[in-house]
Amino acid sequence: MAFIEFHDVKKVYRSGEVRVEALRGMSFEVERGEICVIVGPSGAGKTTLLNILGGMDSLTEGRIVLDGEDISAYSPKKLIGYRRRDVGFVFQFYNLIENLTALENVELASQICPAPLDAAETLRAVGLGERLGNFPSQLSGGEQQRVAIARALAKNPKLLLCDEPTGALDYNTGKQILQLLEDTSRKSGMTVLIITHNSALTAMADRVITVRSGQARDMRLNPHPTPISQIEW
Amino acid sequence: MKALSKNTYREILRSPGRFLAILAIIVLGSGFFVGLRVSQKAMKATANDYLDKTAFYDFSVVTTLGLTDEDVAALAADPQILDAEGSFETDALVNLGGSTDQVFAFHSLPERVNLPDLVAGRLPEAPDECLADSWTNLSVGDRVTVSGENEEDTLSLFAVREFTVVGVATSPLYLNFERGSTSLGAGTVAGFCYVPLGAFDADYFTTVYLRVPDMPAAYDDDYESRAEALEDRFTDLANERAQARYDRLVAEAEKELSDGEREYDDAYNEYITQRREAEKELSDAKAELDDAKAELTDAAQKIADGQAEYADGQRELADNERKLADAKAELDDAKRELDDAAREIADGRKAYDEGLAAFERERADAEQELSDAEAELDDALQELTDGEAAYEENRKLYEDGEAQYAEGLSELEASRKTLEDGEAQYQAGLNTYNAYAAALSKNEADYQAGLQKLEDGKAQLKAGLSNPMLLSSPAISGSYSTADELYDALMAGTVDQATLDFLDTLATMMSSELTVTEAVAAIRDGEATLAAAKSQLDSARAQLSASWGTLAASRRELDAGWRELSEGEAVLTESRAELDEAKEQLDEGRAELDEGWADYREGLAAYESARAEFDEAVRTSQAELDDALIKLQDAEAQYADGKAAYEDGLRAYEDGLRELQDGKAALEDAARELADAQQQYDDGLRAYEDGLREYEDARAEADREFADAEAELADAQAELDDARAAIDELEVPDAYLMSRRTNLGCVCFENDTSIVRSISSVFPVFFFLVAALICVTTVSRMVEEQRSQLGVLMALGYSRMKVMGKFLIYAGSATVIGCVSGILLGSWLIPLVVWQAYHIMYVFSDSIRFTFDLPLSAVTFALYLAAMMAVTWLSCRKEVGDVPANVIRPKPPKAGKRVLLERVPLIWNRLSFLWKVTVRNIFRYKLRVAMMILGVAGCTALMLTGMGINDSVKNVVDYQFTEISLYDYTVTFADPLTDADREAFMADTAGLLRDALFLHETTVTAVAGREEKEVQLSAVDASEAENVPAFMDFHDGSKALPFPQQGEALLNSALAETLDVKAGDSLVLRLEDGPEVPVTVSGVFDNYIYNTVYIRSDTLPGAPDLNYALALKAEGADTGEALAAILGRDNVLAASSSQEMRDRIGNMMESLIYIVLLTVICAAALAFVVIYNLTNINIQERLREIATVKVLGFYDFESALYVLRENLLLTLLGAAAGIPLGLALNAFVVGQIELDMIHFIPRVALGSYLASVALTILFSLLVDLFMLRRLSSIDPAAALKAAE
Repeated sequence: MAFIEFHDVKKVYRSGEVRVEALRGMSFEVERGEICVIVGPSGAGKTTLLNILGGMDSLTEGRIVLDGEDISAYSPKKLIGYRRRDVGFVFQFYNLIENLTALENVELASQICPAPLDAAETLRAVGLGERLGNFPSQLSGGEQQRVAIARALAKNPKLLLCDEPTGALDYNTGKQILQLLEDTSRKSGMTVLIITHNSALTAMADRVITVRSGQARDMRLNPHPTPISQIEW
Repeated sequence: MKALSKNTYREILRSPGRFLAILAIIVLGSGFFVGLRVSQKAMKATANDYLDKTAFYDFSVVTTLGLTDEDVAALAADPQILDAEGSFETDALVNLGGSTDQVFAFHSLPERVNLPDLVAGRLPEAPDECLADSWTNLSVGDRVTVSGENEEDTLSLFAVREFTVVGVATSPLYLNFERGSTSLGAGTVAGFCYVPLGAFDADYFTTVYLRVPDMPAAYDDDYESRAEALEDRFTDLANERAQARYDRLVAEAEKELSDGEREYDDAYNEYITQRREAEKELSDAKAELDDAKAELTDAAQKIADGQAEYADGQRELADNERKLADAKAELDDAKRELDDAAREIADGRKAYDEGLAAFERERADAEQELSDAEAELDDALQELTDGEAAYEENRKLYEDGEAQYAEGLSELEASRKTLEDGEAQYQAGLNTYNAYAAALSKNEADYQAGLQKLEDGKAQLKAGLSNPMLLSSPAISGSYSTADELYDALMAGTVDQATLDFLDTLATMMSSELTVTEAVAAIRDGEATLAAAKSQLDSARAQLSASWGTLAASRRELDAGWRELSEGEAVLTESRAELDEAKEQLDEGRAELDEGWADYREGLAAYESARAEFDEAVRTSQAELDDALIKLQDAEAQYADGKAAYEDGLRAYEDGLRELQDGKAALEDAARELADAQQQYDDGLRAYEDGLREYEDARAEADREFADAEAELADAQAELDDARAAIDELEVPDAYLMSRRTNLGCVCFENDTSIVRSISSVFPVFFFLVAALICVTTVSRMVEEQRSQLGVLMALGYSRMKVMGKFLIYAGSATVIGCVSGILLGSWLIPLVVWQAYHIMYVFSDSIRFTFDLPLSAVTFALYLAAMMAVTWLSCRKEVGDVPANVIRPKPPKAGKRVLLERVPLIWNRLSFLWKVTVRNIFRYKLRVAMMILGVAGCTALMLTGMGINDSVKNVVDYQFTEISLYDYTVTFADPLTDADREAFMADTAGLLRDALFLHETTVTAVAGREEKEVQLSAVDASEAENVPAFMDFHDGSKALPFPQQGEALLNSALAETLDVKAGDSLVLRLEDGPEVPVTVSGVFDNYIYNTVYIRSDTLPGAPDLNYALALKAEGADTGEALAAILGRDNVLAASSSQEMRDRIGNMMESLIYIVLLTVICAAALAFVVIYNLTNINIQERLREIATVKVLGFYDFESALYVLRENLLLTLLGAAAGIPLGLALNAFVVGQIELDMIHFIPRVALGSYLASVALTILFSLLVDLFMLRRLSSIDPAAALKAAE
């Protein structure tokens, strides 16, 4: 049994008369410890997929199993618990709390989970050992995203979900962030899902899923992923 | 509509909550301000209308002897008087049908001044009709009866004492519910009642009401000054009328007195004549009665003789009757005995018959049983005999079996012997075989050793031969190439001797043991020896195996023999067991048989003894039965004799009975005659007694009538004397002129409106400030949200003013709509609500007259508009003033910062993590914090003020009467008191009053520098000074003040403030009649009600009269009863009870609860608007942050707390800040309340602090609860959206 399984997942948004099918029977699998890149054009359903897998939205039909748990059957309350324990999120725009220092932002996440990593330690691990007391506005974009990654990792989640993690960063900084994600996965065996529209990143993945029109069109295994430092785009 | 205007319009629609918040605060602010301001005006206007309509008086004139039509006409004729009307007024106890009486104030129905205002029904026309007070429960058709409990003086004032209510009305004389006090009943007046003047039996008016032309409306500011200017002139008029009244009264009284004296003389003469006639009639009647009495005595003697004779006859009869009864009793006993005997004989006969039957039955049964037993015994004997035969047969069989078994056993022993012999032979054979076998294996080992030795020799030889030197020697190498060849040749003997020798030599040389030749010979010998041994061995082996075969065969035979033997043994063992069993059975059979024999013998013996017993029993029973029969026959003979004797006795008794009845009849005749005589006597006696009673009644009545007539005559004489005395005593009456200020309702109304006004000065400040702040925060937030839009507009070329216009229009339209609707709504709603509250006390009008204060409204509107425009402009000036390029870029989010508190690690490190976040967030937006704290503080302060007013005003009476004025009553005496008066007062009120302090009381003008104030002066005699503390507790704060010495004075605090003096200052008291008394202020005491100066009597010139008293109620006495007792005294002019005062003021303050309610509602509205608005903005601004927190897995409640914690903290801070603010406001408002003679001191009760803080927190929590729902609905997915 695979770590993540999507079985014919459908998601329909209704607003009044309008009915939008965001996912139309998406099915794929991801194994534990893999770096999986989900690539596809805007509107293909990448974000919906992430929302549902991240426990932020419910699905209309189908089944999602994560590590043997059927999360599609969870109640909203259970979903919150799931977000709390099992998923780490990295946003495109970092979403740090402006009013909290880097350390406090990480603590915000670590203080509510059952088995967190040490917040300061995690920040040091992402290379921000010197910036613990800085507010987000005193950090560069790349540093902010590092804080965001630390915040996600500090929860010690089963799964790291990254939504365009480099979307708001310049080329070099973006590369460093991807390097950090890659290192994290390789070192700690964390399963990392990266959503991007940049198909150049597929080279670094163990598994590439191409999403189009709400369906997984292609799933490809990459037996020899290229280290990110060697990818150019 | 232009696109830009559309944008503004849509902006309003897009965020209605925000727009409404501004609108609401403006509506609240302007509405409350204008509404409360207008309320006082509206109240006064309503009262003015009413007083105008009812032609309310300006002055009233009262004299101590009343006034008449002539006085009224004289007053009306004065040019400065518009109208004058006399009125007769008196308090009386009335009965409304219940068990208790109430006091009503009766008024003659006026026609021109102080007209009652009909609520229902019509005005009275006939003298027995009345108009009832709408404050009472009376309605048209009810009856009002002047109670018989009234004093005669009061009753005599009424020509009619029963009235029918034909109408219900309000009266301008009683604006509020207060009806005044009275000397009747419980001391309070329950209501007024208008009756036509004709219903009173009075020839004077108690009061004349005057109206003055061209006076301003009652509650207009200049009414008071105009009225005061007229007072002196009217006081003179009143005094004139008093003198005229006196003159007329004296003339009338003299005339009445001479008429009365004449009437008295006539009456006396008539009395003497009538008395003489009555005495004669009575003595005649007495003589007649004495005759009748003698006749009756004779008749009584005769009756007594007859009665004695009758009694003797009756006694004799009774003796005879008793004798007969004894005889009868004896006969009855004999009869009972006979009956018993007959019953016993019958029972005996029956018992005998039953005994005989039973005997026969038992004998038959016993005989049957005996024969059954005999049969059973015969059966048993037969069975035993059969059993013996069977036993003998079995014993024979067993003995045969035993013989057979012994035979088998000896056979078996024989064959065992044979087998044991065979076994011994077999063992001997086996031993021999084993010895042979051992020898054979030894020989075989020797043979193998020989063989080995031979092989060794051969090998040795071969080895010797293999020497290369030997082989290579010429002697050998020619014939034999190898050692094997040489060996074989040696063995075969084909080697020539030369070679042999060579070899032997060689061997010798080599010093071998043997030579080659010797070796070859030895080998050959060995081989021959070994072959012989082998053949020997083989033959021994064959022999051995043959003997083994023989042994095995004999073994098999032996085994078969043993098997047969054991089988034979088994058979024998089995037959032994069978035999033992048979033996056992036999023994058992024997035992059974023996037992059977024993049983049989026993049965036989039993049978024989039973038979003997039976025969004996039959004999005995037969004898008994025969005896019983003989006894029975004897008894029957005795019974027949007894019966004959009884019948003779009965006949003799019946003869005696007949004789007795004859005697009885004769006696009864005699009794009847006697009774007739008695009857006649009784009738005569009754007639005599009736006559006597009649006579005595007549005598008594005559005496009573004489006495009455004499008393009446004496009364008439006394009345005549009193009338004479009254005329002599009559003095010129005192006259009083009273203005409206003496009308309680009129004054109370003025005071009450001032409370409303003072409240109205508090609200506007808050609402104004909060409205401005809400406008600032809302507009700032809008500007921030729409920054880029502004940039675009500016980039498109719109002027700054136009861009700003959007916000100005937004705020401006909210202000215009809010102000207009607030002012209109407030002007209508607030007076309506206020009147609802005051209507409880002031029933004269159901509705308030709505007034609209245009200047006030215009100023309010302008002020709000200007302020809102200003703050809006200030809020967006900075953004709009920037260059478009900057504006179009999104503003970076407000950076996080460390707050000051973080530098205080003592506190900061103790805060939980989430509280740290809260603290930082709070200090991030300073303006909002200020506004929130101000709003919440305002909310708390408003409530504290409202409740504080309640505490200060409501409790002032309590403070006064529990902490300062300890007395229960004040009494004003009409005339100076002598020592005897004082003692009489105390004696008469014993039980109701505990103690009293008598003092001199007067009004003086206190002068200090340029300040003057008319005050009450109380002078206490030096000897009484030590008693004062029981009545008045003088203290300044917690410091007690001693009573002043000569030349000193104590002042109350409010007075000291007005006069601007303090302890140690000097003061001049100007007395009414001129002299001025300088005093030193010895102390200033706390006091809330009235201005009073206390001095010692000897400070005043001369000896001041005692005309006033403070009294303490006795323990357990009724307040009203004591007051009525005081008021009922002749010398008492007025009295009031502290309790009544407390009740009255307490009632007046009831309406304050509405004021408190109003402030609480206001405060709630304020809190809701502020907290809602701020939380709303806060949430909108931090939408992404909240969504992120939710993605991190915060539960709904946790993420709500993440935001709402700030509200809670700020609410607490605001509430704390609100307390000092509220205290200040309370002090201000209480200072604004003007009440006649009462000085309020701002006080706030602990409960009010708690309630206002608790309510503030409650309001805040309610908003939070509402916001909780909004926060729950935030979608965590919003965190993924791009930054705005």
